[in-house]
Amino acid sequence: MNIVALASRNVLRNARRSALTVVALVVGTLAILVFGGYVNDNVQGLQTITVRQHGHLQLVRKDYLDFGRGDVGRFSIRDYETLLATLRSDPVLAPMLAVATPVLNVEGTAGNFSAGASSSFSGKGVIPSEYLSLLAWDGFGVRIPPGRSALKAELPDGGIIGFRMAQLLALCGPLGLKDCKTLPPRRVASAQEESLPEDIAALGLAEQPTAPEGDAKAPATIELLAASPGGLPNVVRMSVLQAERQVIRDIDAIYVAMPLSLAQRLVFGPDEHAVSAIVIQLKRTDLMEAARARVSELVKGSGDLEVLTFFQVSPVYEQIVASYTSVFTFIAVLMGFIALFSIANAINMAVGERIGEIGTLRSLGFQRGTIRGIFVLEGALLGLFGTLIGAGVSILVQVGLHAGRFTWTPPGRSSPIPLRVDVLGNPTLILATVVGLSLVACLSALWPANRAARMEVTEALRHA
Amino acid sequence: MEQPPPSSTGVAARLQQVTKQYQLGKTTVHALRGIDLTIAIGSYTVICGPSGSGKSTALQLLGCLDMPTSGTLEIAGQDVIALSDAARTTFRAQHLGFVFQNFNLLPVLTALENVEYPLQLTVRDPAERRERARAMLTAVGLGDLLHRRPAELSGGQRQRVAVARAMVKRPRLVLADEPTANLDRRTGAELIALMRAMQREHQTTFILSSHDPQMIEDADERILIEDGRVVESTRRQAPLAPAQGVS
Repeated sequence: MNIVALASRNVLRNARRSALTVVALVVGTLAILVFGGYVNDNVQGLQTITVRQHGHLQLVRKDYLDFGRGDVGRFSIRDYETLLATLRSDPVLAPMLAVATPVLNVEGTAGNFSAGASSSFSGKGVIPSEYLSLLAWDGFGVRIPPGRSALKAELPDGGIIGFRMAQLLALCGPLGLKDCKTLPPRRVASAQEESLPEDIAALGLAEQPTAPEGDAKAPATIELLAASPGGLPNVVRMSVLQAERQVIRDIDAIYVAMPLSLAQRLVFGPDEHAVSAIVIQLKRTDLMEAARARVSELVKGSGDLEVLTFFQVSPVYEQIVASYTSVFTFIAVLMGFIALFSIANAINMAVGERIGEIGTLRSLGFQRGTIRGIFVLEGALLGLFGTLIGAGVSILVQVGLHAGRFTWTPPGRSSPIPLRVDVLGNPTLILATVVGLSLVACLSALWPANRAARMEVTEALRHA
Repeated sequence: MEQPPPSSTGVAARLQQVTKQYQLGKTTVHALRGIDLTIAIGSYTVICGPSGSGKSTALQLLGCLDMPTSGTLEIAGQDVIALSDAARTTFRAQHLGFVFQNFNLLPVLTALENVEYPLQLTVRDPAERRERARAMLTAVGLGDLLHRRPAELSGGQRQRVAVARAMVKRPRLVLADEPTANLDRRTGAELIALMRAMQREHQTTFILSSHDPQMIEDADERILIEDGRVVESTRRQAPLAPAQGVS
């Protein structure tokens, strides 16, 4: 018989009270682990989607993020092919790379002038095969289906637009889209309004191969208009290969993806080739700092370039993670307090009921520290039972949610996603919760345990 | 009243001019008013007196459970007032055994565990602890009830467990505060016989407080306390013969 066995029996002595205390701990652990698992799953999902869109790192001209979209010419990289070759052949960096590919970001106006519809767009020019690789990244194994892209190298004028953009440009019918709202006809229509303005048509046609005449199944086309580095408008005609629903609703309304060559023609005209950024996607996110340092070193002599992380390129990522973290912290602290008061109450009542026993143990020669230890141990045992059971229940919740295939649509997204929690994928969180709440249990037991240890023997024996 | 000189066998406990005062609200209670006591080693001493006379206080001082307000207190040759709280606790673990009026057994432990548990303070070997506890319980007649919890034992059996717990550490001094007060007459008589037999067999000093006439009658030494003072101390002239066994 040792102190642990004695404490265990005392815990079981008042089974109902101990059970209620353990239930409070189970609920606390469950809340922390399930919400923590939910946050974990969401952050991994968010990071996966962000890294698919932006890569882990982007090599850009200095100050590109602040001014690049307003002055594409000044903030573009012209010698990108040399840089890419350097990055891909570097023996340190190459093993970390999943994809390194150039991207040209472009903004302007998209128009389906035959339908009298136009809208602003935010697009990017990519190399189709490499873009497809970017969209397939799954560094956490979260199994979000790889992004699809209908872009093809052999269709240099074929591009993709967002589903809502297709609606805005009255392309539901031509693209054969289901559940797509058709743009209502204008009340006043004149021949002049319904046709492409002559000056814009001339700009577009000047650089556009002509569609073969008599082709009844000619693809839907739109005109993209953007400002050249000199401030003059450039127009290209883009065949719309497909309308793809984008996960974020607002982006869905402005999204255009096209082959890099088409984007370069739109921005720079036929003779100049430059890109906004070289997107670097790594095999794993934990390689990011090492890769960033290496890329910085490699491009040191290549002018005023800088390496941005996806946090910097997409600050909303960090904002969402910070938001999740603050809610999680609040829940964890709240559960910590619940554990604290539950254990303190249980041990305080136990001390009150066992004053006589405390006197007996002290008279038999047990030191004050031993008395303190018995009650702290009882608190620790309650904490440990509660958190371990809570961890087990949390894992069952994870399994149940996954088996139930529940889905939900987060704010700002256009399609539902699976409702998942990733408890097992974060053993550190499980360990930290079990150890943390058990420590809270010990600490909360300390106050009543000290009260027990400080009792005078003769006073305590009067309660026997 | 003057205390007779200690027996030739030596001194188990000595109190000199001991006072004990309690503060009860604004009132000072004088529990002991300067008592002198000398308890001989191996004696079976009963402290008696009316309720509130100070006999329990005297027993608490002798058991190092409390300290006097003034005076000197020597137990087994040790000036216990000079000891720290922790050292006094260790002293209790090593040298003193207690039998309480309400038995004071730990309800979550079996009889065997109740006897064995305090031994961990003085005996390192678990097997030895278990064996000694088993032997002592057998000696007090509970060899077949080792694994019963206190709630499954009668009052007399519980007090026997308490006696075994007090004796198992082979203490210098056993202090028993009205040990028969919660027992019926017959069970009380059996317990008195048991304690007396244990005391004789192990030559342990027993100091008891009691109203029980049989216990008082059976004592080697009777100390009557009234109003915080020793008013009478009587020593038996011839020691009783050692017991042949324990019932």
